[in-house]
Amino acid sequence: MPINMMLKTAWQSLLYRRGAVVLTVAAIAVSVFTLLATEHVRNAAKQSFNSMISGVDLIVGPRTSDVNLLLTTVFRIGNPSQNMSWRSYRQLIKHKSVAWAIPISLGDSHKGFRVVGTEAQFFSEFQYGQSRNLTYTKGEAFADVYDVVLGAQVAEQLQYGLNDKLILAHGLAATSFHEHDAYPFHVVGILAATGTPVDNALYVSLAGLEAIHETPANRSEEHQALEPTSISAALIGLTSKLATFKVQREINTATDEPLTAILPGVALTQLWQMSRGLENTLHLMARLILFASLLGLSAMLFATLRERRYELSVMRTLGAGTGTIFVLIQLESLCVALLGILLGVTSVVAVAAVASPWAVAQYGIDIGLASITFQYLLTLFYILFGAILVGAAPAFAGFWSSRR
Amino acid sequence: MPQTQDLHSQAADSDFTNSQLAICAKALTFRYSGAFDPVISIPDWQVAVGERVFLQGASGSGKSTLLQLLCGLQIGKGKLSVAETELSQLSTAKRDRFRAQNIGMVFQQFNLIPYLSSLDNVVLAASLAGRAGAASTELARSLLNDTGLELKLWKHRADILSIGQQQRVAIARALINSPQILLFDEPTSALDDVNRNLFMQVLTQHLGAHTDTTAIFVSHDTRLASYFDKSIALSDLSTCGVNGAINNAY
Repeated sequence: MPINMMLKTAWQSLLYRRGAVVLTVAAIAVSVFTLLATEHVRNAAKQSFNSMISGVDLIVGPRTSDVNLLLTTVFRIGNPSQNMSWRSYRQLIKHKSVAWAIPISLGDSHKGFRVVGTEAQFFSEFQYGQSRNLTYTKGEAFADVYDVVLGAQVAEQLQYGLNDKLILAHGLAATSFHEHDAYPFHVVGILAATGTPVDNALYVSLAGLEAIHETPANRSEEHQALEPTSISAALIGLTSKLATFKVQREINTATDEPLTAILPGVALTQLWQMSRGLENTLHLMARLILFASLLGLSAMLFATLRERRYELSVMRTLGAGTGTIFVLIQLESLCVALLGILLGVTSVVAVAAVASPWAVAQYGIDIGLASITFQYLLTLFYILFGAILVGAAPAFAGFWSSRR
Repeated sequence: MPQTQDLHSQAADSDFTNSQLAICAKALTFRYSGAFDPVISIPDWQVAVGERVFLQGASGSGKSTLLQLLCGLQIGKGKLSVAETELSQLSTAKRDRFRAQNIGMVFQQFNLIPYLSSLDNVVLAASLAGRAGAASTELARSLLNDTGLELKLWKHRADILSIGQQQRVAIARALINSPQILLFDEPTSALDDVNRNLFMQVLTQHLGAHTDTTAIFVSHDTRLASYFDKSIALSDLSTCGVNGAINNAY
């Protein structure tokens, strides 16, 4: 029988049983969705995290665990519990191996978005992804004390434009009772989207942060001269990668202030190792769900065999070989699996597209379609292969019963 | 198994070589696995090419089994040559091919693939005989037309047709490969008089135009015997004493 007639027959047969088929397709779609979505989010998170630290050689902060320092300073997950002194930072940047340093001061927020106190070199030195510099969609870096530069998501979500005025709040809650409302900031620049946590923050100068935290009594008119006493951490770029471990050891063993210097890549690896157990569990669950749905497919085809007794014997009298019967049933299971995969992939794509702005806003993770890789195709191929395996059972049963 | 029959078949080997026979059975017996007695035991039966045979038998007398033997779905002991092909000599795959190309069958019911359209049911038979293509579709249309099935029903799913309509599709399908042998297993038993006459009309029309086609028509309805050249009772053909006695008891 030519393949197009086979396909037509298999397809019509599925349409004939559409109730059971639709449910089975849905079950497979859900499992494909689960599998791909977990994989996708995991990959997207890794990609985004890796992208964020690609240009940073060392992160220096107060004595704490490597992972904690990485999470609080770069990804802004959790709160730094301690600060490092401004004096130590000043000393650090004098080190001959340090090419550039970006101070980071955290603790304030604006409508749920983090405010990062830093200095202008952040905009010039910080690199993400594959050596990409930050660029502006509008405006430029801050120059004045009450200037603020917005991450792409902040500007988009809050609908801010240049010269808009905004007020920072103490702490991180979206509605803080303690607002620095006496000191409005002007938007002077809006950064282009990076797909990293950079997009989710507002950037002000360290002097600006000092200014709003001063009590009115000791308020200084010379804003530019304001210096912080401490910062949360510093991102360091070195003149030579070869010096990394040496500088790291020097900082870690410094006696005047207990500091931690971490290699962000190493800390990130530690983070992934910590989450690997959970990751594997998720993966296993997704695979088991998929397996269950494929078993459901097999069971559905098995259940129809009884009612197909006449139909199969008619095929046989028309001269269909037992092999043809086998292939017909296999084709049906393949069609169901393909439909399920299609539906599952479509939902992943749709959900990714819809949820992408939210994920970027909440976690700085770009789950957009850009991160869909060849790996997924391979996964889909495995699913199809699985469908062929489980489809073999009813196909063989049909083959066997049609022999008699 | 009586040994005399085996000897008999060996002695009669020469009869198979030089005949214009559509069906030739010698010492043919068939027994279902596990059963003690054979269902079919035919010492000698010959049907000439182009002959139309009405085979009369009570239900359960082994009619369906005989037809399964004739189309190669079951293989018995002894000699059975159909369309000058010794079926037991063919591999299973070759027998399937042989059946697709040389034999057309119509049963009492459940003839059609329920989810395919009438037209596709007919085309399917051509496909299975390796004759897919536009020409086959055209032929299928003309055959359906001959059966008088309304055009609008051709694209309808087969399971929504009435039994009479289904049987008409079934005969169109049996004819599409211009088979040498047509086998009918009580094809009109589920039909009313009007549909039965229609069915027989389509059949006789085809047989009139294809004089080479051999037909075996199994039915218990003796009124139909007049349509055929020859009428035999299965009980005369197959000497299954014990089994026959059991069947008569039903």
